Amino acid sequence: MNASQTLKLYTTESRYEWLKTLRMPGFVLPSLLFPVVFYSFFGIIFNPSGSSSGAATYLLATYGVFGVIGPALFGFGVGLAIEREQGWLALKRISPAPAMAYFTAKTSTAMIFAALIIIELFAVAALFGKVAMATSDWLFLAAILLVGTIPFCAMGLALGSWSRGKSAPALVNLIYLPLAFLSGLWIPIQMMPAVIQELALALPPYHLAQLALKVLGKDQGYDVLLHIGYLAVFTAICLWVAQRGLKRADGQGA
Amino acid sequence: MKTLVIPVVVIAALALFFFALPSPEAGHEGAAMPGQDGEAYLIINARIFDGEKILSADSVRVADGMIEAVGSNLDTGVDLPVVDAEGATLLPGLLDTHTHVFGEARQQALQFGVTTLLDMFTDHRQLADARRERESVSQTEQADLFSAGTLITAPGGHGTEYGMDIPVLTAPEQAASLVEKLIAQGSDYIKIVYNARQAAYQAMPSITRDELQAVVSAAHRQGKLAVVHISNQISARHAVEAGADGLVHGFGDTRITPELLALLRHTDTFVIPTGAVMEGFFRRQGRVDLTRDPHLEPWLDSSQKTNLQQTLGAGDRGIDFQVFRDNTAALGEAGVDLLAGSDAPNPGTAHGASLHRELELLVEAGLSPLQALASATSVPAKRFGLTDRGMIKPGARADLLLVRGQPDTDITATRDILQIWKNGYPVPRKSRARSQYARPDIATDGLIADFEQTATKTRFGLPLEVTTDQMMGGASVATLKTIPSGTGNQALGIDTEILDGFPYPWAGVIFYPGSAPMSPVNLDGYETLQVSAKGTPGEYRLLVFIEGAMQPLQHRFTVTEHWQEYRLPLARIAGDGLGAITAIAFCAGPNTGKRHLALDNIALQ
Repeated sequence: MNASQTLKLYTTESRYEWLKTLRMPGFVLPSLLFPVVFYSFFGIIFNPSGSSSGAATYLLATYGVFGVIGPALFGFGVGLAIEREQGWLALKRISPAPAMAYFTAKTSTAMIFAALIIIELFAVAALFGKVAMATSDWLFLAAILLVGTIPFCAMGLALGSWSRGKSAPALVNLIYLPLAFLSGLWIPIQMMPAVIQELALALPPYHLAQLALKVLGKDQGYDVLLHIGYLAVFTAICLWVAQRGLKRADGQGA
Repeated sequence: MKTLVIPVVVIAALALFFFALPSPEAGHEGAAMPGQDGEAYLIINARIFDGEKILSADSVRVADGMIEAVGSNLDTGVDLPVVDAEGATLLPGLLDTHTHVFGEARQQALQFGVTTLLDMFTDHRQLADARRERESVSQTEQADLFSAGTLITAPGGHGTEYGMDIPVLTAPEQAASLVEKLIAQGSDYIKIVYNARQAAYQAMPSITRDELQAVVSAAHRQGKLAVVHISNQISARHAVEAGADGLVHGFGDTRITPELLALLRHTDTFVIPTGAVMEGFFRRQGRVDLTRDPHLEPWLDSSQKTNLQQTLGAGDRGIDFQVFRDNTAALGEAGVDLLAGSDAPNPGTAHGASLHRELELLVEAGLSPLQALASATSVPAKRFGLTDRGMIKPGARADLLLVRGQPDTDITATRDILQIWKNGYPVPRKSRARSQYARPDIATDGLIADFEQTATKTRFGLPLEVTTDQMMGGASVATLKTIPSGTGNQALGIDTEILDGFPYPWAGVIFYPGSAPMSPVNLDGYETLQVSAKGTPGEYRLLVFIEGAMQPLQHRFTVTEHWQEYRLPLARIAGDGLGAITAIAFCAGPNTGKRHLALDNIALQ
């Protein structure tokens, strides 16, 4: 198989993953709407500082993180769990398509969703939140959010490789929402009790949010490398857990 | 071809999207702001807080440094330069009613829209100039200054610990002559330090209750306000009963009694709670780091940042911040006049910036944002008899502050400053993020001194000197000499003896890295101060002095009888002050006694 065939295989797989996802309104609508609705409520309408754009700017970064990790967790977590149980994954693996194509398709779909959410949030922030930043900052923030989906794709993979198809949506929600809250994605971490602030240090979304806030100069002042290092180690652990999970699934014939 | 069209369109659309996203307005540096050349101008479409309330009028006309007219549609039919204040609120320039003005204080305050400082203890020699300047309407980059001058206290009492010549009172009969002396030095009002004999916390001597009474009466006879520094409820009551016009601190030792509240109301005594400094000293949880506020940080210089991040390691002094805050709330609820004052530049505060925090703390204590704004504008102006400021009204000085948003609903909007005018002139705001000080000529090895030639020779800056608390009236002594080092070369030997005299005694050696004593240098980029040391076993202190900061930053290290290499974390100790270091000292103290300390190969890394 030459390079162009490989590429074709990857893009085809990705395109159909994308089409399949689009045909699941139960995934599409919440993913695209929740972050922007939440952000509009807490960042703009009920903004405690009235018309000042400080909170709207701060929360743009944290709701951005909230937004982009959603499709990553659900796309992988729920999608994989269901497809695994249906035997679809096993079918894929005996087909000549490389396993990587399957994961690349899911990752790229999550990233396209992330990009759409970023565009939505940025538009709302600019139009209604009076958020103003240098063009380079807008771009940099978007880039961090986009790349930041990767650790959460890995996390979704780990969850999806272990959970049962039916229970997967509940499980992911059970993790996603508290994780977002405790990481300070809904309410700025500084406003949380000290215990939660310390707990947040252990949570991956906190670290992605701090990276995003660094662009705005509103982070808590830890070293960039700490956050990147944490997320890298977290990603590696998730991939390892996922590998174990998939092996186990093989053993069960699923 | 078709396969290329879609990506190209997507990329183009994305590029358009990102370039259409708003960027911050470039600011006013380029365009000429009206008033620059002293010409008359209009501010239109503003929400106007006049010092007491939000007006229905939306325009202000400024001419000759004064507010000439306030009204609606002042721009119809006239041809004046215009500032369009759509979406913004215009306030009178703010008054900080409790400050200590040294060094750059007046410039620093004005950078945050504080156009008038009411000082509560300073060097009186600056007051004649200050008086002339505050009567003028010429262009200035400084806030106006009114001051108590020095203060009246007991021998050895609070106020005497700063090494200045302070009027002390030992009998009620001296009150009249001391008050006269202060007035002759330029005091606008009289500040008295008082702590009741019955108070639980007794750190320093205080004048007696009779003496307090005598000073208040003497001030009133001279037509001056008498304001009293107190730190507990019993002293507050004595001051009010003595007829004080105001208390310059709140208190947090006990909850305020209904009787004292009623008395304060009855005597119409005002209170300057100074929550900003109380928070820095006594608040354990919920302290806010103003250096992280994006609306304040760019305008803070390194000394202000250093000061803001300091705390006074002085224990709780019997003061509970929660009780203090509840008392402030009770005072506000009872209708006692509260005045906003920061007590900058005490540790934990900074001129200008801390007044914005004080406003927030007043709101936190239950005042409405409107009342908080009044506490920094019309109320202090009225209480201190300043008729030309604190209000937006025809005939008032054009000290103005334009902020984005509505500070009468969100008090923190006072920090989002769009423009400051002093005497009608727009004040240029200077970003202070970078150190403006020169870097000393330091060799690549970073060496400060190796003592191979003499005990005091250094590679840059001034030669080493002895430093002791004698400059503050203490009695400690130190001598420097060369001694043999372990490696056959020479090292510095410091013999110190800490003696009682000054409350915070020290003795040791000091290094000035600049070209004159206490002239600041920029040491950004250096991480540690390396030094070999041995001596009488025990703790010694590295003191790092920052330009404009009230007290040096301390780092303790333990020395043994044997030579050891130390890497003292200079960057961490100095924090933002690393760009404005004025001196570095190695000291013994505060415990009394004789010690020997030997140092060698002091270097920056």
